[in-house]
This record gives sequence, structure tokens and C-alpha cells, in this order.
Amino acid sequence: MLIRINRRRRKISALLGLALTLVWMMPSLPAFAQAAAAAAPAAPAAVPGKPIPDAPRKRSSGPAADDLAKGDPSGTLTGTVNDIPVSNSNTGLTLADVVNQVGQNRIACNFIWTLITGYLVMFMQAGFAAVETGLCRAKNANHTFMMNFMVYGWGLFAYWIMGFALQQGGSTGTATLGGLSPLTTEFTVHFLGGKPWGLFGERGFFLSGTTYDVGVMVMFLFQMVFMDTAATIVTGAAAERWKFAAFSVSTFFLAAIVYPLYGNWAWGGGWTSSLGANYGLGHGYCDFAGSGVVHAVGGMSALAVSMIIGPRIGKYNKDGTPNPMPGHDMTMVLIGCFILAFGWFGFNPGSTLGASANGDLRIGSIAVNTMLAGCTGSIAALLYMWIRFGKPDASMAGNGLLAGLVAITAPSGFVNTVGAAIIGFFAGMLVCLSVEFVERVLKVDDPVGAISVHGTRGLWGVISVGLFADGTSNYGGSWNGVNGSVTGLFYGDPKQLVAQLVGCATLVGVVFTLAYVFNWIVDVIVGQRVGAASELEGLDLPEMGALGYPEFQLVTPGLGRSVETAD
Amino acid sequence: MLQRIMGLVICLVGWFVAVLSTQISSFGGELALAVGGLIIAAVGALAIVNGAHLKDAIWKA
Repeated sequence: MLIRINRRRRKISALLGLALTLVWMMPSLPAFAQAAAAAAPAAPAAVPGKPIPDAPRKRSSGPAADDLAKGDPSGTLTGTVNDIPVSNSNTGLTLADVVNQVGQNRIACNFIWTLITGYLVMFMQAGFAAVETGLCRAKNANHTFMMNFMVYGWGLFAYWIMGFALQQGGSTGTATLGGLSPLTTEFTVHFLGGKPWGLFGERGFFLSGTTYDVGVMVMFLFQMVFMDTAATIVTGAAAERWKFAAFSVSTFFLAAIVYPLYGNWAWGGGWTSSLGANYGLGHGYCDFAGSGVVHAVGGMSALAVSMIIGPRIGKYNKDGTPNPMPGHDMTMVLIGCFILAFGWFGFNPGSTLGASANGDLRIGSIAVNTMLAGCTGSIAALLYMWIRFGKPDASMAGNGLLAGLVAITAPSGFVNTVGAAIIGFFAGMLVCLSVEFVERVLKVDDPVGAISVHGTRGLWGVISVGLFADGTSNYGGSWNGVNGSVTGLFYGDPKQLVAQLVGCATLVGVVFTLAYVFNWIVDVIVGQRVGAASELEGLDLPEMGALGYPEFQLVTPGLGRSVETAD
Repeated sequence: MLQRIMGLVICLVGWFVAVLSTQISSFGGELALAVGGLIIAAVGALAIVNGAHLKDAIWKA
């Protein structure tokens, strides 16, 4: 009896070992896994299941039902051969059953990873709301917070209707999520040199038809929360004087058209991602997690809206010199920054879209790069302000942290820790200079520094890929259809920098223009700016009908300052 | 209004100049066009479009 059990165990081990070996050796594992996923839940005949000649034809026995009924405190009886579904009870466990289970486990692992990191990114909305509200005056608290809140609603709705389709409708081939086979169609024109330029996707409107697909849903959720991040950047720059109705229309447009277009060009198989394959510019435009796609798009849109609605009353004197308008709750700002830093661990490592594929175990490196850049960014901003003004400024330390995180977003998957630290440090220092430049030279009023943190640091992040990518990343052997690892100027591939600069020029030249034109139209039709009386009173009552802090009496001793005292 | 439109057109021209770098074979030429295009686009947005808004800024009233 004992001998028979041992023999059976050896057969099961041989069966599992052979199955794993076959899967490991298959050159087209992703395609194989896609087939497995497509045929779930029962192990299907569509998968080329090769029965092992001496494999047990009957279901191999795992723990007995009596043993399982007693409970499994040690955990050794749970997760055995009993848990592998058998497609045909007459034939018992076959190689196809085991291989299908391996493929489904791989995709399940990637689904879980992508969804959970997406949830983390969704939570960043709370961080943005806290940062922006804390940096604004108390009389606008409800209005500012509600803009951040409803970005989620308006943005998601628009993205579901058409944004996702425009962005990802032609992005089939994402092997980590099962292939995303329904996203098949990209609108393409032939341009410069007759090369194909993907402009926008055409599948996935309302997530209906063939895009009612498990992998597409995961992709939608992950991409949606990224779009939401871009949309919420604008609310900070336009805070304290933006009509809620205009904000709603503007956000809808950003989520439906502006963001998806650039997202398609970079991530959906569009023309910037093809600059390498078409024109030999490195690996084409590379933006691992969205310094450009998310943050610079948000920053450029924020710049356009801020220009159109103009500065807050009292921000500038008649000679053009700016007045400080401090926010009302620095603790809220710093808590918001921590929430954002936490969410960034979803943003960057999650952008592998899986934890089980070639190169995806780099998620540890990406996470460390992310935390390092945020760290050096906050240190740089803090030191800059301390040396220059004599005090360690809290809001700029927070903005330095965010600037470092924004900057590392694009290169996080391609650089080493030294590169990440340098990128973050420069971002933290430059954000202080950029805030001053925007406020004093451009005279664009940006209450929270969103244009500098997300716009200019986003551009810096994009450029830094072309400088610091160290050529060690290998996500399946190629990136954007070009073999080899992404490598920047400092590591031997100067052409990558050119691709990144073309991406930056697209952000400033095209994305800004699109955002500006639409918001200009909104300004003419709806009007972007609230009336002067509402602005002076604070937008909570005139725009939202309720105060953010009804138990407090808000005293405004002079233009641009609010002092809160308890009743 | 004319200045705003002109600024936006210059933004697009800057983008096109940067994209023309794809038609150059030497790295120096590519880099020059890409950087030049980016600068032109930035001038269009930050100097010309923004300049139009500064002319009518509320704080000047």
C-alpha cells in the first residue's frame, strides 16, 4: 500500500514537473496563456494538452475528504492536486488541465496585481483633494474638495463612454493581461516618410460588444484611475475662481479626448511609441508610468485653464508683483502628500501590468526608485527653501516630494537607484525655481503649484528617461516593438533622448493647444470664471450652497488672507 | 484674439519642427530640431498666448 502511494506521488510529481518544464520552455508563453485564459473556467480542448503516456488517467488523489473535514491548521492539505479542475472526469487529470491551471494562475496573478495597484492609484484622489484643499483658503474648502471629488465622477463617465476606446482601442497584445484581443482597431494615417501613425483607437466605446472581456475590464480600471489623476491636476491650478459648471465640462472633455489622445500615442500603440520602430529613435517615446501621459498632460491643461481664467483677485498688485495667499491647513497638505506617496506605489510598480511575466519582477526596483526620488525631491526642495529664505518651508517640502515622484514616474522602470535619486533631487530643486518662474515671470496664478509640480516636472521626467535609462530593463526582450532594453544618453543611446524630446514638444505644442482651444470655447459659451462678489465671499456658498467649515467664522482682514477662529 | 490664435499656431509649428527630427539622420541634427521645436512651442504658449492674457490682466485695471 505504502509503495503504491509513493509511486502515485512520484507520478504526480513527474506530471507537474513536466508540465512546468514545458510551460517554461515554450517560446510563446504569453500566447499560450491567453488561450488558456480564453477557455476558462473548465480546462478546454482548445489548449494543446499532451497527455503524458504514463500519467495517471484517473484523478490523482489528494487529501482525503475525512482529513479535510477535520480542518487544516498547518496549511499542508489546502492547495493540492484536488484544487486543479479536471476538464473530463472520465479521463482524469491531464497535462492540459495542469498547463491551463498554470496559465490561469499567471494571468490571475497579473490581474490581482494590476487591480490592487489600480485601487491604490484611485486612493490618490483623496491625497490630491487634501493637498489642494489645504493649500487653498478656508472659504473655498467645500468647492475645492468637491472639484477633486467630482473629477472621479465626470472623468470616469467620460472615459467609459469614449476615452478608453480612443486611448486603448487598438492596444491588443498586452500579454500580461491575457492579450486584450478585443482591442484590435487603431485609426492610422501615413505621414512623414509614409510611415504609419496611429492616432486613436476605435474599440471599446461603453466597454460594450466584444470588449465585454475580463482582461479589458482590468485594463479599463487601471487606465481610468490614471486619467483621473491627470484631470485632478487642473483643479488645483484653477482653484478658488473656477465655475463649478465650467469645471465639469472641462473635466469631461479632458477625460474624453485630450488625455486619451496622448495616452494612445504613448501607450495605445500610437505614433510617439512608434518613433523607434519607424524612425530609429531609440525605443520610441518611452513613458513607463506617465510623467508625460498623466502629469504633463494634466500640467499643460492646468496651464491653459489658468491662463484663460486669470489670477485670483488680490494675487497681483498693479505693478505685477505677487502677494502670498497661504493655504489654510498645512497638516492637511502634508497628510495629502503622504497619501499620494503611498498611492505612487500603485502608480509606478503597477504599470508593469503584472507581476508574472518577463521582467515584471523588476517591480521591487521600480518601487525603490519611486520612494528614493520622492525622498531626494523633498530634501532638495526643503534645503533650497531653507538656504534661500531661512526656514524649512513645509508646503514646498511637500511639493518637492511630489515633484520627485512625478519626475520618476516615466523613468521608474528603466533606471537604477542612483539615477532615481538624481532625478528626484533635480526635480525637487527645480520645482522651487519653476513655482517662482510661473508666479513672478509668467504671472500665472497657480494656488497649489500644479503647473510646476506636474507640468514642468512631468517634462523633466520624460527627458530623464532619455538621459538615465541604464539598459538593464528587459520586459519580454523588447519595448515599443524595438528589441533590447531602453537605454539613455548616459548609457550609450543618444537617439532615445530625441524621442523623449519629441514627446515633450508634443505635450507643449499639441496637448496645450487642444486643452486651450476647448477651454476657450467653454469660456465663451459657459464662462470659466466666477463673479468677483462670489470670489471675494468664497466659493463655498455661491457655487456649492454649503460651507466647508460651517462651525467656523471666517474673517478676511485683507484681500487674499483668511483667518479662521472658532465660534 | 489674434495674438492668442497666433500663439497656438506657433505651438503647433514648434511641434512640427520637433517631429521633422525624424527625417534627419545625424544625431546632432535630430537633437537640434527636437530642442528647437520644443523651444518654439514653449514660446508660443508661454510668451505669445500668455502675453495676450497679460495685456488684459485684471490686476492691471
